[in-house]
Amino acid sequence: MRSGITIAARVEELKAARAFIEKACAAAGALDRDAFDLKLAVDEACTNIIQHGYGGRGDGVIELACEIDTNTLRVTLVDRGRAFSPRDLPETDTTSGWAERPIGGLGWHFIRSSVDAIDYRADPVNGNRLTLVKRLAVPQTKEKEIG
Amino acid sequence: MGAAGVGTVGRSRVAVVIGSGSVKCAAALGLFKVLRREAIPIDMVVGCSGGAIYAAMTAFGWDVDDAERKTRTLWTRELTRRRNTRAMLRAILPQVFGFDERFGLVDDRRILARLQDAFGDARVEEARIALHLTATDFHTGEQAVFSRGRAVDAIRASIAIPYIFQPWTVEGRTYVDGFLSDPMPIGVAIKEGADVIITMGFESPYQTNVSSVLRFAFQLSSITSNNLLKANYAFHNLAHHHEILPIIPQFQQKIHLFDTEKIPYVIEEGERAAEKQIPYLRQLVAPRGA
Amino acid sequence: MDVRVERREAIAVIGVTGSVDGATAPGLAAAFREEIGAGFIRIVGDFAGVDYTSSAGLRALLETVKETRQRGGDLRLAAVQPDVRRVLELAGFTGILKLFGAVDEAVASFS
Repeated sequence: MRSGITIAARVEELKAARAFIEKACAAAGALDRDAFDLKLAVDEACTNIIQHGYGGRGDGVIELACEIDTNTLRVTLVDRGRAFSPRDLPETDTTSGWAERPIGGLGWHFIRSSVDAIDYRADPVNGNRLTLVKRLAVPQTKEKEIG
Repeated sequence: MGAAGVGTVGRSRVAVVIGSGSVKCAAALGLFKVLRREAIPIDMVVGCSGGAIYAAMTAFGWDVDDAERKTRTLWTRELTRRRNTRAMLRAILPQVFGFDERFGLVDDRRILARLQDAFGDARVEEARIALHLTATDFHTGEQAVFSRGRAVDAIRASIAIPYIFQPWTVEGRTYVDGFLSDPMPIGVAIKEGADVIITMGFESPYQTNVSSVLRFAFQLSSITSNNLLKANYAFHNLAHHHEILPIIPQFQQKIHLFDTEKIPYVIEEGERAAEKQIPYLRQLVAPRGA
Repeated sequence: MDVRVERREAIAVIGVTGSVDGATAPGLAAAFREEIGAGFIRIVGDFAGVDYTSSAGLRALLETVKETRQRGGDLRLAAVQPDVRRVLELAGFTGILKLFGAVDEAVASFS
């Protein structure tokens, strides 16, 4: 099952993006918590595209699509702004002592914590594609505790 | 009244945070020596794990020489000499003996006796300097801050080294080493309104020879706690409104968990590291407009 | 998102309703800044009506927390909803700012 919307790349549209995700999650029978996590991740991802991809200019659009497959929700965000580069990611400084100061990115931290898989393909011409995958908890059956 | 913080009048509130690091935490005594000599007032002390012992000693008004003497008899290899046989039986035959979170390979009677001898019935809230000791809630993983209650309970909870000393229960909740939730609890000082935060913390040592299951476990533990230390430090720097001053002793030799005989050297290195920050520290704590 | 300000002697209680995101966070930050500018460095954020916040909201909070503390005050939060609390925890904010169950508790904590 697939659904999609296109929003203008402006922060005023974040609400619409979240509403779209909320609807898709409800259709998939997702738990409130999973829906919240996905809403947060999509909000943060859209914000990154708005601010970094389109430089906060307000032009450009973001195509959002949501695919439900068994217990997995796959959200794709397509934009034609500047491609996100690994250099933009917060540094994970493994060599320096604890008093060095790596700067963190809160938005990405939230995205990473909220979804199970992230895939990114840069292609400013045909559209950069960010895919967020969330495995939904199954509400009916309770998983047996391990051990 | 709220904290008399940095404002148009009044001086900065100074906190000292001592992170986990077993016997290396004695370097804090060198830091306190220097702060006393420079007449820099301390408004708050926060301690985690090994740091909890020195934070408590200082907050309760012990002078550095007494503290040094006491540590040499408190923190020795004998602490881990007696094995906790019951715990081992439970580990090997959980169905027969029942296994639960009270797992620790070392008999903790000796450490308890020594802490009791050092602190008696002293209560955290009665310390001369505001004192906060951190542990980790074993079941929820959250940081637990002891600002009240028996000092012995708080310290025993804070230094409940995983696998070594079994977790410690206080008022129905079970606690384990503070370093698991935050090896250097600067956040506590920030939350409690400190302006200038002097912090001393240590990376957990990496194993050179993984010759036992326990060493394997310790290596994984060091990896996660060192990453946590750096991540939290970066975050706290971004979140704090004023200054965080790291005091980083440079040890020219390896200091192991119970290298008690190296304490005098450790304290010296703590002093040396603290002295480097004195000019800047003096500036920071001078009253505004002075 | 709606903001209501109530000045109680030396403490400003700012009640927020709705979602705090990239679009609405600047409005929240402005409200906080206005109180600080008027000399209210002790602020309680009543978050009973906040159903959502993203990192934008957190940045506004952090900015305010730092500004008030620099002036000898503080920002404390009351009645934070579970979803919003989770976001605060994820970002490590529960470790650096004080949260209370109710506004009166938060206000009282300043004395």
